[in-house]
Amino acid sequence: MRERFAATACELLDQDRSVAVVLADISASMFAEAAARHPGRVVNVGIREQLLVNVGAGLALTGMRPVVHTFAVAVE
Amino acid sequence: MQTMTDKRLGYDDLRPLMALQTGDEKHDAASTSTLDVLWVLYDEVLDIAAERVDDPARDRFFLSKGHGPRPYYAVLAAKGFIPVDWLATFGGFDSPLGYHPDRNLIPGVEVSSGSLGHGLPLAVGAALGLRAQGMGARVVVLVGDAELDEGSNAEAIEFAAAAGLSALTVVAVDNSSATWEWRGGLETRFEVAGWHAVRVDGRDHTALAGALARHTESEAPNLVVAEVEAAS
Repeated sequence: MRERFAATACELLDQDRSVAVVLADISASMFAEAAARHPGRVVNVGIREQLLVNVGAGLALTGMRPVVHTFAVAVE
Repeated sequence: MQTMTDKRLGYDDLRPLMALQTGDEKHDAASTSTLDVLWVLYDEVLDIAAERVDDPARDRFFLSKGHGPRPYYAVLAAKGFIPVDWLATFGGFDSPLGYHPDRNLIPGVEVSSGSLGHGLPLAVGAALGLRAQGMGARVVVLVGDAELDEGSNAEAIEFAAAAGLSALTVVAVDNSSATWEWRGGLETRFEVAGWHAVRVDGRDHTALAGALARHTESEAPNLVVAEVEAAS
């Protein structure tokens, strides 16, 4: 399931310049190539789940469409 | 004082504009601590105007310390973002001016706030978004010294410097209200992470304007500690 998510999210990054992906280390390696293609639109905040969610909200406030990704258990 | 119908009012009009807003006296200390910082930001620093609230290139101001919003509303009225007539409705059931600001109800308000600790990490996201879109706008966020107790700020402080968010400025209004004082002053927490930090008199407009002016010499984000009299 994660492979499909990463592939789809990378496709969206390629297709739509307003899309951003925000990570908290989880799955970061799966977005390394996309990060190189789209600097600034793949953001890894490190192991910071509070920041992960607020960065997504802040990106949206500037008109971007963020995809915020981690394991569900990390934000419970 | 100029007439209350004049769209552009001055600093001397702010206290009368605050006096129109009644019912939240328990937050008087929190309110008046931010008055001068807010005025200097809107009068001299931020590239925003009532006519440009939707301009993508505008500077962003986030009031993270959403309690005690009377001076914020007074400044927004003085600068023409909201009608002066709204101020007397403050806190009313049908009023757009709640005890905490609502971005969906008030022109010029960028974030709804009140739950402390969210403004700075939101501002980090906004700064990233503006940079990704090639826009040079600044993001300025006002926090209180006690608000920095919230752990969400720690995550944002470390990351913002690592990410080189030079367009980000935190102005921390320090009225010594934190229950557990930060040893060495709250700026040490930012400096150790790589921020540029200064402490100024939070009532001195010239000092505030100088400290809040954009710094372009480095990639470091900026902290301005605006020291005001202690909350009683």
